[in-house]
Amino acid sequence: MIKEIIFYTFSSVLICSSLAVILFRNPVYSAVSLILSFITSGFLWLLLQAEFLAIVLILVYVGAVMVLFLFVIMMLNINNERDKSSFNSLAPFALFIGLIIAAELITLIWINSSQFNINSLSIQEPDQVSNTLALGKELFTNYILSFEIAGFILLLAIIISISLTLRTRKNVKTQIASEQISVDPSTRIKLVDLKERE
Amino acid sequence: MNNELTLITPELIIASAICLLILVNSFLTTEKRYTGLIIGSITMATCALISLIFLIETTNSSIFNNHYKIDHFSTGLKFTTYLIALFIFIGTKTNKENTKSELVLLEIFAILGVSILASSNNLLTLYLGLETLTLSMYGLVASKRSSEIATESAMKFFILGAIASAIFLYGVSFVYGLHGTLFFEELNNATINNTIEMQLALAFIICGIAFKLGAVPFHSWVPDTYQGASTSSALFISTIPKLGAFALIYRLLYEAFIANAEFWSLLILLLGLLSLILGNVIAIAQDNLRRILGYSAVGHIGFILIGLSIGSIDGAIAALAYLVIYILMTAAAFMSIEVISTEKRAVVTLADIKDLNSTHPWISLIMLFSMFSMVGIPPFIGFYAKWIILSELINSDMLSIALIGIIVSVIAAFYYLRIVWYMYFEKNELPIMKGSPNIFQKTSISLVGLSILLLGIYPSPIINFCRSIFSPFLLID
Repeated sequence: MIKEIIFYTFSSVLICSSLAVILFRNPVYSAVSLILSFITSGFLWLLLQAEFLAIVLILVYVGAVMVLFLFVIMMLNINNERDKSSFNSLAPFALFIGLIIAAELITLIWINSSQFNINSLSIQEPDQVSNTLALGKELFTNYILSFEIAGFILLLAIIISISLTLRTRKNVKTQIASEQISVDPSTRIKLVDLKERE
Repeated sequence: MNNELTLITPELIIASAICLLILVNSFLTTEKRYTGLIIGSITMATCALISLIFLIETTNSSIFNNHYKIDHFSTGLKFTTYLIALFIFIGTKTNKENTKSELVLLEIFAILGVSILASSNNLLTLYLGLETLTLSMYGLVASKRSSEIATESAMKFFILGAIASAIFLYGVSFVYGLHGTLFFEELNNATINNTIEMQLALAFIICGIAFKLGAVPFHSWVPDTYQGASTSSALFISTIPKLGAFALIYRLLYEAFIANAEFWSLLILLLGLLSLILGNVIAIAQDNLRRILGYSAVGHIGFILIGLSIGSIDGAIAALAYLVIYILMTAAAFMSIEVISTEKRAVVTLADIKDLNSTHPWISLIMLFSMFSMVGIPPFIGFYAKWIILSELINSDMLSIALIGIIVSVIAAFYYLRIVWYMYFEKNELPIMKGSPNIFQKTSISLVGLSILLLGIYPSPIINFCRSIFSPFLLID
């Protein structure tokens, strides 16, 4: 009973905050609502006994991604007026398409709901080990290949973002440490004997 | 041969080549450098050799806890990929203007993605391979930073691609919810597969696949990227990723969801017909040579999808043969554009190739081979490609579809022949194209161009190769 109450409270907060993300005019408010929706979905995962994923979701998305996002929004100083007009012109069309897809999905599930029965899936009882340990064991044994490929995808993303933003300028004054160290004083300083003025 | 790491030698070599290239480039400072070309070509040649050896003495095996599969299909597709990539590297990267090593690096990443796609035996591995491929494609399109068109097309491509990946993953999440597994063998569950939810999931997945292939409702990125990207990147994007998309469609539809063949063959057929008709009709109205090639790519993808929609192994063989032949033709066309362009002036519109015959007779002859072949005029290989698809269609009682294919091919002849007309019979008012190919470019473009003609006269190597890739299934059938 208490579980249901917690579930429904958090899911209603999640739905409201997700709606707020797209309805707020101010991008900073949207970003903050997105943070709220991440935190509430983290709580929902806690209810499913996935504590590691819940903490990772909050740490990674709220702690890193959204903070970065807020920085970008504040640095770019996005013009709100223009966004509003483009949103309004596309909103009816988007709403129409969205309603069609939602109606299709709902009728499908309504007509034939037997297959979407969650209980029919064999959900394994969680082992008596912590979530982190179980995930780590799976990740580094059964899913090692996927893990390695994901590493390469990250490397690729780094290379793309560097190659798209790095601009090597000519005539830029850079320090070359090796040359600086190997300088011979005799070539740099010329001692000139000055005759004393009479 | 049974060691897991031995079996993925080509992938390991590519991965080490990537790391080596990054290291070498960070210590080099000169502008014009050929490290990318050298490392890339050596890697591709070695990998092609190794996968050829694997192809000859392959033992089908699943490795890494069934996440990865080495069979005839994967090694054959990898061999094709590496060989084509070798030609592309030698054909374009020897040009002084294309030596930026980041481009080679991104292309090698894309090839790694294709290899992973070809070998994947699990929806997770498949998706990771797909992302490796598409991410590097975004980078390739965006690499021409100074051009406004390139940046715009890269942005459009990136956003549309991200949406397509999201739709694909949404479908995959449905599949996982219904089956409780991501492994291909375990997805062949007939009781679940015939439910309406599974069809919904498949529809989402096919949307994602159609985007990656550039089939019609999802095709808008194809002409844009062909126009925006630099010629060498456009050449790459129009060839290698198509093989990856073929691997994706084959692994998913022919292996994982073969039980749903009746449902997906209808969807694939619809997508194929739409691409065939719209791609070829819109191409008529284009003035930009690259956009023409883009829309013609959409049309050819239509033919390939129609071949796949037959739903039999013979259909898949015909589709793969068509794809390999299409890659030969499009490589010849883009290489021709590449070698006559200079850094200052690239070939963009049809006006740029007016009277090309008087300045570059050999290049325009290769271009003529490619165009005639794309139309499907008999001595060239394009005729054979169309013929095998059409004969497969007739064999499986899809006569009306075959008729539509023939009619659309006749319509398409207009714009292909218009290119030839411009090259040979129009007077040139603009300054002539100054680009002159070096010896490597001449060799590779001549090899590709002549293979269009020679394989057209004697086409059995290609069809035999495609058959041998699918041979284990033929034995079962």
